Amino acid sequence: MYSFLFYLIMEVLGVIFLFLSFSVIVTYLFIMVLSALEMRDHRRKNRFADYQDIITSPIAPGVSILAPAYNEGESIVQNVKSLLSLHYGKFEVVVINDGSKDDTLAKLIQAFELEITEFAYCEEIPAQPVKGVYKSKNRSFNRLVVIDKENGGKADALNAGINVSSKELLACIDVDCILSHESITRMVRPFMEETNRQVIAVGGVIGIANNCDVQDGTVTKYRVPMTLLGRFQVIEYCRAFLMGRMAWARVNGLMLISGAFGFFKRDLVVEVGGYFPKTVGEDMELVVRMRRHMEERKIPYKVGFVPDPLCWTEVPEKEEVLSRQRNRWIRGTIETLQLHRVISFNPRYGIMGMLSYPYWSVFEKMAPVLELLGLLYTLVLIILGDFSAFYFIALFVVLYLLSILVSAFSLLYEQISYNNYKDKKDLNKLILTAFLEPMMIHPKIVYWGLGGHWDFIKGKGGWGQMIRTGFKKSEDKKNMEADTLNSSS
Amino acid sequence: MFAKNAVAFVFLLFLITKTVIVLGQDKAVFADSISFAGFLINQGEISGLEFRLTDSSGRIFLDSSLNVLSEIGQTADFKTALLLKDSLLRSDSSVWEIQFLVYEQEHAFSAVREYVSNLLRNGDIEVTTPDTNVKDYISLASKERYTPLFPGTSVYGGDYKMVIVILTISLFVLFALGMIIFMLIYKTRRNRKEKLQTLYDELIIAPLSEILFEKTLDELESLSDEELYSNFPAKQLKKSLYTQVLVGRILALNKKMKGDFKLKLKALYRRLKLEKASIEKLKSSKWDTVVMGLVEINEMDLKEGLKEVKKLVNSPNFQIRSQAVATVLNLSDDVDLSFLRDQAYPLSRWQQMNYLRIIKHLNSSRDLHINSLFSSKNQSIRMFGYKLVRILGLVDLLAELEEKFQSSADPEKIEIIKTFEYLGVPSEMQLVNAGLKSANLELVAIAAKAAGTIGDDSTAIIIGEILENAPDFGLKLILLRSLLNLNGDLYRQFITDNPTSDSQRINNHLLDPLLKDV
Repeated sequence: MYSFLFYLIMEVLGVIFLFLSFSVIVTYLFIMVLSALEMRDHRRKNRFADYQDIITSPIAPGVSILAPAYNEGESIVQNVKSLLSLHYGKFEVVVINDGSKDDTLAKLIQAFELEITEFAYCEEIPAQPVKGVYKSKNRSFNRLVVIDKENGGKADALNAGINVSSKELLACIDVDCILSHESITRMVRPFMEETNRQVIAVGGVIGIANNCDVQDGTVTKYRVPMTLLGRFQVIEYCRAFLMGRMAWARVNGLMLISGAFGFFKRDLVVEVGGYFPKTVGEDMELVVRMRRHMEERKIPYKVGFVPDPLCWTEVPEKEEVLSRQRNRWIRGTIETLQLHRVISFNPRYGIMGMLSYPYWSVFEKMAPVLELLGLLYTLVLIILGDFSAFYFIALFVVLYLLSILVSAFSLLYEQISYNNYKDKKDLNKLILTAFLEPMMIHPKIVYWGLGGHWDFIKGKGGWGQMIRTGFKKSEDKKNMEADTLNSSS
Repeated sequence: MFAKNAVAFVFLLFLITKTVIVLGQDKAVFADSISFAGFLINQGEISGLEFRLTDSSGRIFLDSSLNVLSEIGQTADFKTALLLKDSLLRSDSSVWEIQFLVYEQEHAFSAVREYVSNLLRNGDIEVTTPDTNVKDYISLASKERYTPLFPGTSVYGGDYKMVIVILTISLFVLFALGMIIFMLIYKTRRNRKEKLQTLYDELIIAPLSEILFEKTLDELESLSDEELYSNFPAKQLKKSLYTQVLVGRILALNKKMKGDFKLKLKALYRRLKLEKASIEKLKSSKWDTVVMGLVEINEMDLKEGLKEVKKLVNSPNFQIRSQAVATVLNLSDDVDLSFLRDQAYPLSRWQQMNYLRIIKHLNSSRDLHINSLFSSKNQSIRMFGYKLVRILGLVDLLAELEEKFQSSADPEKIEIIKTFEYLGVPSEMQLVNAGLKSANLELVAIAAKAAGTIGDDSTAIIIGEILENAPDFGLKLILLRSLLNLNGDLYRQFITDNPTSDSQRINNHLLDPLLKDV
């Protein structure tokens, strides 16, 4: 009996793995095609767009740039100066000092002649207590608002920033990001273009600034990072942004806008209760909640994406740091999907429920676990002597080639659309990295992903039992938040 | 050269294949007579082949009692014939020979060998394994056509895992090949195009600069065709890429230059008959080509294309529609905004921004009848009209706005109140007061904000009443700011009478000079 069951399970697993391999290939091929179409349309539209008008037009929306800062004393002044020099008419920069232990606030006060104000802070979204709101007495820095608050994490800092912000759109960024002068004008365009549906959020591409020359807040000379880990991330970012997100934007299925560079409609963010500070995947969670809000009210909407290179950041090149980042990302994904599992295969939530959520569940959240299971399955087959070298080698070769194909395709995108890496040596290095990645980097990524799963199971991140039950409706987060605060006080 | 080599290579491959086939046909199945005899011993009966024993006189051996030979003295088993021959040799002094019969006809040993070899080649007989006398199943299976055990299955569909793997690999290979071919074609074409573009650009720059900087407008217009085409060869002008580069250059220069230079560029455009191509583009099925045509018509003031452009102002394509409206506004001397009033599609902010730029420029030189937009059936166009009044400072249209206010929806009322506030018209206070009494909080907030600029004592009283009903913090801040602007005494009275934390915080906020604009 047990023997029969065992063999039945092995047989079923075999079918599942074959199906998964097949669906991985088909999905990636679809993503390639969709992203190519979207990129083509974007480039065509861009030919006729005049972004100069937006800078001064009274019809353009105002933008509040929210930049949370924690122990950024070394670079904060330079970063804020760069933000203040962006080319746009109606914008403010809200820097949120999230209880830094270094001299971040002192440096800001000194550099921008700040003074504490009597700002009537209204807590539309709950956040840790605000100690003070600063403004500059120098009119040159009139656009700058600095909030000093108790430490509460990035999401909490952003919520405080949202409470103070006064413009129609929110630009949530990492303070250490380098923004192109054109970043606001280009990101605002999708909000202004749509006529039949509301654009609730727009995501942008994050470029990798490691080893690049930066001048006046813009990357002037691109070079690939020195390390293999850095170069791998260049390819990975190309795949994620130029392919994945473009494809999802094409079918209006985007579920993630990078926390380092994303634009949102302020009134909607406030309506859904802002960022959820108890998850490490606050950027994805907010987008999913906003989408749920719109779907539940049957309001036509869109989440847009701008593939132009407008924002750059430095990526970790040390394994220790990268492993922590990947651990956090996978936990954030699991948490968000757990919270909103009601949308899974739920036709009420349209593309998000029927396509995006299942995709994220299988190909992002479960990917490390499935890969581990696949490995174990192969080992068991070898032990049992039931191992088919033909199937194994065939699938292995196909998936390896697919990985290279997808990487090559994303690099081709980069070359066709932006051609940032002009030096042929750089391109050769990236192609070589694409060949090495499946063998040398991918196993590590899987291992770190598994670590994320393990940490989630252990409860790392401070999640309570109640949160794991998932939101019944998109706005339940607000009530839950209030309950949590009441019970703690 | 490559093609020749390829043909030679394919031909060589063909020859090699053919040679192998031809040589393969003559290959002997049995190395020698011993191996053939051994085969006959092991094989047993072979169809059409029989043996009999004859002596030197030709007498056939007949012995039915032995039960090994038939009545006519023949056997189908070579081994039996051999055994009989041996036994006869031991018991009888006469010499018996084995005769080989193929279909009853006597044949020589070599002929029989060839016959059996052919049977083997054609698959008419199967080799019997010497030890077990069992058929060679692998050989048999390869000869036998597959028949499924269960009906409805096929040789390939029987193993579903195999199907999935084959399908996966095939799909992958197909897509990969497709992509690689696409990449190669794309890259080659692009490289070629870029090279040509650079080349054409170099060819164009010099004559273009010469015309712009060394010739007057009159000289350009009186330039002979011969002289003109010596700079811009007619042969080149027939090439689409050359024309594309030339048009691109002219448009780019037109944007940067002013005065006479612009006129010269436009004159040159016409002299080179590029305007026909621009107008022709409007008939394209590709939206980006149509938009390019519209841009060219707009930039080069090709008024002869206006008739065609007007047909596109209600195009379902957003880009075409936007550019067509902008072009009509720019080029038409007599057109007003009534064509915009009749647009069915909602007007996006992006379009509004583009139209505003043109309308701002035109408004000073001609009457655009902006008020015609107020009667549009399209709400977004009516709201654009209200915005135009505000941004262009059209105070003379405020009376019409006032008339529209009561019958308008809340979003329109918000735009109208914003307009009154922006233009600072205190005479229209009843609109603001009506807004303050609305159930729509967004409208109340806008009206409250406007009240601070254009309100009067009656507004201050309404604000006081709203404040008594404990509005939310955001609205309270706006109301108190307006109250402070309208009537300082009432404001201080309210703060004194309501010493709540919120009121005190708002009071401090409003009195802080650093927060004047916040």
